[in-house]
Amino acid sequence: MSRIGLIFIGHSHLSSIVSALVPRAGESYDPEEGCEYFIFNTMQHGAEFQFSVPGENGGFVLNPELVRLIDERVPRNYQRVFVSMFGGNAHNALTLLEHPMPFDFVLPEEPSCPRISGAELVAYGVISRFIFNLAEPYMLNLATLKNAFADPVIHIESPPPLGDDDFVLENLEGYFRDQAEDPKPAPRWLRYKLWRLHSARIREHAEAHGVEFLPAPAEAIDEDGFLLRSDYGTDSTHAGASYGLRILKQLEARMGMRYGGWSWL
Amino acid sequence: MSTPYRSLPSYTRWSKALASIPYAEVDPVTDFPFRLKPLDKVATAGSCFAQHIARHLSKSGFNYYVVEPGHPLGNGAINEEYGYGVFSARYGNLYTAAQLLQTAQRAFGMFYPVEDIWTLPEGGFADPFRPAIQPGGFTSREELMADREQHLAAIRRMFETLDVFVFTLGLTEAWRCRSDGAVLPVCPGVHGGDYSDDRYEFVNFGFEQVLKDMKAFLRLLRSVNPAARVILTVSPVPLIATAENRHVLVSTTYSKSALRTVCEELIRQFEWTAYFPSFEIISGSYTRGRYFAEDLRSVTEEGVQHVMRLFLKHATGLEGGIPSEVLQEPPGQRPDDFVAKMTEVVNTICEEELIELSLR
Repeated sequence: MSRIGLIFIGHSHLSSIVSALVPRAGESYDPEEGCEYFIFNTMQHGAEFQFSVPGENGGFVLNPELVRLIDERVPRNYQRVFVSMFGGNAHNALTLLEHPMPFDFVLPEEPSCPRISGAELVAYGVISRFIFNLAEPYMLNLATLKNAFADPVIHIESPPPLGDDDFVLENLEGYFRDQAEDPKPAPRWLRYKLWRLHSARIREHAEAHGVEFLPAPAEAIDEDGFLLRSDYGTDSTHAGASYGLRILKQLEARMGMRYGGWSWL
Repeated sequence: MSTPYRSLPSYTRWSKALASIPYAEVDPVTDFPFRLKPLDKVATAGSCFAQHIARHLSKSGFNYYVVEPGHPLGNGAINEEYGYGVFSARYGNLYTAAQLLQTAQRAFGMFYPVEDIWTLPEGGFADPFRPAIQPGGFTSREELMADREQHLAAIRRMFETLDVFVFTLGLTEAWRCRSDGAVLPVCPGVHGGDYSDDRYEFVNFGFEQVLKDMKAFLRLLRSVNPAARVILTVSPVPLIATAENRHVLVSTTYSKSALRTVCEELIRQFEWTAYFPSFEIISGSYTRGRYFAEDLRSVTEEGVQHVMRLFLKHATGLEGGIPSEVLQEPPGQRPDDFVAKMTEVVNTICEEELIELSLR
């Protein structure tokens, strides 16, 4: 028997994974071999669940409740791989609605990326620090997860931004609409650059902690660097089932195994 | 026996004006040609000492005019680290009259230096005219050029719209490019760039050249802003090092003397300029060195306070207290509230989305 437990822990970007898995519930699979998915159940544990908690000897550790849950739910004879989808939305805080003082920056790895007319140029270092500060709580979770188990941990890159301004505007949740009289998303190229910056900082952090950073599937990205239309979800920040399925297929190919069922953690 | 001295006020007598009164009460400002109003846009530039003036103007409730305040995304500490708000624009220290003139000329498209970009040893790029302005350096040539373009546009706007410009002259010594005479704030190699005798040369500006550069700057300023007024000061901070092969005290005395004399000439020729004696207040013998720190260079806060107390008294008519017309922030959502609100929203809806999904 050879089964791998792919244990997904994280926040809202899990939605694309769940969307992809739900239709597969009835799919048949080999009970002796395959990748079985265990997905953290936010409904059961609550949106306020603390993944990282203060440790007895100072610092932070992975919530012991989660550790216990994993040990209980994932069969002991499974090879385990943890898949992190912590956070991943820090950049969206700056781009779903245009900032009252429009800004822009130059991406070091793509300095020829279009500039935004009329926007104040801000130093890359300033934006980078800002994004890092916003993402810090989630990056803590990545570190405590890695420290809690000897098993490999993979962090999945946030999905590419949506390039369709109309879609973003039409699918802005009520909370965003309420923030401005005439809501307008930030320019698409700013969404792109911030996504790239965010990914770079997360990657840097992940690799510094021995976590593998798995980039977004290349086939999900259009020629400009945005999420393929077919992979959109139902709102302005998350990818949909098609995208989630790409990630699952990518992991299955990597593990050399086929789908082997899923359940809530 | 009557002489002209008898009719002069007591502040013209050393014994009465200095030797016999407490040092903190010395006030060498006997006449100041104009008064700043609270809403006057006051811009600053100059050497390190000018930063004190900028800081205190801001704290005193005056309209310290800053055209490059930095975006709210960089909070106060980060923006300050990146040189925003230290002076009215993000030019860093302007030590010499030549630097000031060339900065203004570059802003108005009158001078395009050949010296373009320096590579930093640890990676990144520096602007030769502001080598320390970007912590860690600019990440690409494109970022540097875009920032420079934005910066020069801001300087243009500053000169065109300011009411008063306060400039602190600091040095006569500088390094410049042999190719076109572009003056640099630091010797190449100190913070980026590579020094070579072929490309660069040391210059210790003489009185005539400093005067010529300052006159050219004043005329340029007035040509774009006919109502601008200028306050000149000389930094009391001694040279940290001289590139002349002579004692640094001798070089310091020359520099400060030349700069002080230039100021004297300028205020005689341009009635819309004024000289404020920061140099005299700090370095006058009456202090017995009290206003210099242990290193005999840094000015103590007590000294800065003395300067600013007299500046506010004579240049603004304000003695203590804050002007009633303190500028108010426009109503509406503050930009720095925007991100906090958006972050909360993103986090809220993201968790709710997940719960909703879990219910399917």
